[in-house]
Amino acid sequence: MSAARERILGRLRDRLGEGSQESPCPPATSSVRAGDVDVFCRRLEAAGATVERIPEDSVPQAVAQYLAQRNLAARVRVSPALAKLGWDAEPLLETAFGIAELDDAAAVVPAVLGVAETGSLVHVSAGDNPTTNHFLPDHAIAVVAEEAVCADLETAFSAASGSAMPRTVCLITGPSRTGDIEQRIELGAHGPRSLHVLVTKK
Amino acid sequence: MFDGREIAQFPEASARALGDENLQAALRLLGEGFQARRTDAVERFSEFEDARDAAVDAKRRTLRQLHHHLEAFEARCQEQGGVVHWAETPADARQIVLELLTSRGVRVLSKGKTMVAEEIGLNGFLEEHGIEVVETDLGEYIIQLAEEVPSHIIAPAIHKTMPQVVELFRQHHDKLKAAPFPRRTPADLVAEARTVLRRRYLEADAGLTGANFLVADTGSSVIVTNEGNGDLTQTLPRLHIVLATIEKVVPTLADGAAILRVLARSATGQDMSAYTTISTGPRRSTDIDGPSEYHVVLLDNGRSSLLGTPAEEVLRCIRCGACMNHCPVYGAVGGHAYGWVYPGPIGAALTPALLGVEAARHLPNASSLCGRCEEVCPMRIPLPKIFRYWRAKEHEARLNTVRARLALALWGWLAAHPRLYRLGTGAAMWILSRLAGRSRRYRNLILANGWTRSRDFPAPAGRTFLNSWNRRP
Repeated sequence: MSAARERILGRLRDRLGEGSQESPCPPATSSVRAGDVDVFCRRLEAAGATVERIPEDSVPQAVAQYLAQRNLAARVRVSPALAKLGWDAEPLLETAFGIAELDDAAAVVPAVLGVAETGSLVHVSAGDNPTTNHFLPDHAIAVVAEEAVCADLETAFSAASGSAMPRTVCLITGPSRTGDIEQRIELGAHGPRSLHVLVTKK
Repeated sequence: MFDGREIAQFPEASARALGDENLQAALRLLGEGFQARRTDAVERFSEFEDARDAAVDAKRRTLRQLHHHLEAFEARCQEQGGVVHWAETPADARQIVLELLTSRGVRVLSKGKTMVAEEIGLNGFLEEHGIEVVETDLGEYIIQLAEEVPSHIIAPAIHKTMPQVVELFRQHHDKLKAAPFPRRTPADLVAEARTVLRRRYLEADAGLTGANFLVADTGSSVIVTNEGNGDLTQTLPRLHIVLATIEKVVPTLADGAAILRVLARSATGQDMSAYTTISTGPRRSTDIDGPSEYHVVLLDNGRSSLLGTPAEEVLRCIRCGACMNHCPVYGAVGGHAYGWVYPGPIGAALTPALLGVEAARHLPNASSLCGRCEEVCPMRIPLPKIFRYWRAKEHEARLNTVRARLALALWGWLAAHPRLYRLGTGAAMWILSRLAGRSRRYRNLILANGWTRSRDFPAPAGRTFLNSWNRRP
């Protein structure tokens, strides 16, 4: 490899010696138990998201209602992973599947996990779950199953990395925000202005 | 751009900063802003001290075997289709980035927030070579319009007041040039920047981000943001470049979790930032978005030489900004007075290591050694101890003033002669107490006019501590 590489690693070796190879991971310091869905919902709300707990077969209705309540057009971008949720049940709701575009106001996106410790949703990129949809639209509506809520960051990371890391694993904790103007917190800097989470029950 | 020469002006720049009304108005918000939010976050989280220990331990273990973790990172990253580049100096790193961009015909580069890019002076260099750089973090965008450098590591435009931002947007946004800008709330300014910047993400051919940490075990880079700009930057363009320094690597994601538990709480007072994103390699063959190329530039720039010195503990820094948010000196003069990339206590500890004691000698002296920075540092970096280390180096190299050397020599001699010391200090206290008059304050004091120029000197009670101690009942 490059000469720079050899010189940098050489300097480190001179200063550190060979060193032992492995060292143990630190223990997790979170006291949240697995499956603590109430804690998960509370922490998500504390991070500025809104949360609704619904039966797993009523996602389309919940989406239509949410858009109506917020006075948004009845039109959503749906990540392909959620294409089979029975969208026909809401004939007045216009759905488009695939990657979000600049003029999509709202998107429905899946979260493969929830993290109770931090109130985070875990997005894992895949062919049917493009990362763009989580960030580009003004309003994000995320769907997460109750049984997918895990205890802490370590559990989430080991589950999300699985046998091979995907391109993107993202922990989403509330809507986009900034404090860059006079340290005042404003929502919707670049990512979604609002994050609505549908926690589904079997 | 930062070239290091400004540091020599620290005394003059800080005096000017004290008289800058806009800056002082902006800095006054630190107490109710960053400081209060951190205090609340730490109080809400009863395990904070344990989490701090775990994070410190993770970084200590990593730094002891940094070479192994870097090699592991490189191997995993390449296995996943990423490319790792090694750079010893800022010039090397700039050249690597430039070649990546020009060889692929990149004209517009969108950028997430990265202090390492400031450290290597990347923006100016790329612009000289005809590449347009678009800062996407709101604070970075504001100072890019103002043609300034960041004054804080996580809130780069913290020195700007809202009216100043309104004025900048009016000057630079075409649609606002003609009409008066009627909107004046922070929310309106955020919305304005959002509208202007969203188009730019899609125009960019490449996106560059920093890394809060790199993970050896998975070959990943991790960024922690609140705005979502970093995610759009590393998702939409076809090329993603990560710029990171070598001490950013940690062995596993579990070590990353230990750092995440203290990072946002110490920085913005959030339990968790809005987005924590782990990127590993380019898009997979089945993915329908994401960049088709993923490159990581690993920069040393003097860090490897710090290991084994008393200053090595600065390498644990996770760039949360808590030390500057709580520093009375930073709170009084802001970040620009420091004259280089990293202001505040961490800058005072790190800059002499990167630029040399001679160039940065003022910075470790810009502290009363009050210790607030060490108290709030989530990584327990002994900042005051490191300032003293650099001050000793400055003295050894005879870089301080003759007056300071004489005063130190006199004090050193006196301290080594306890009887004379007691006699001298006892007499001085007695005289100062007797001459103080009814106000019990001095407006002017010989040999201490550096103090009395800006504030009164309180008169001593008349006895030294030793004197009182010996007379205790």
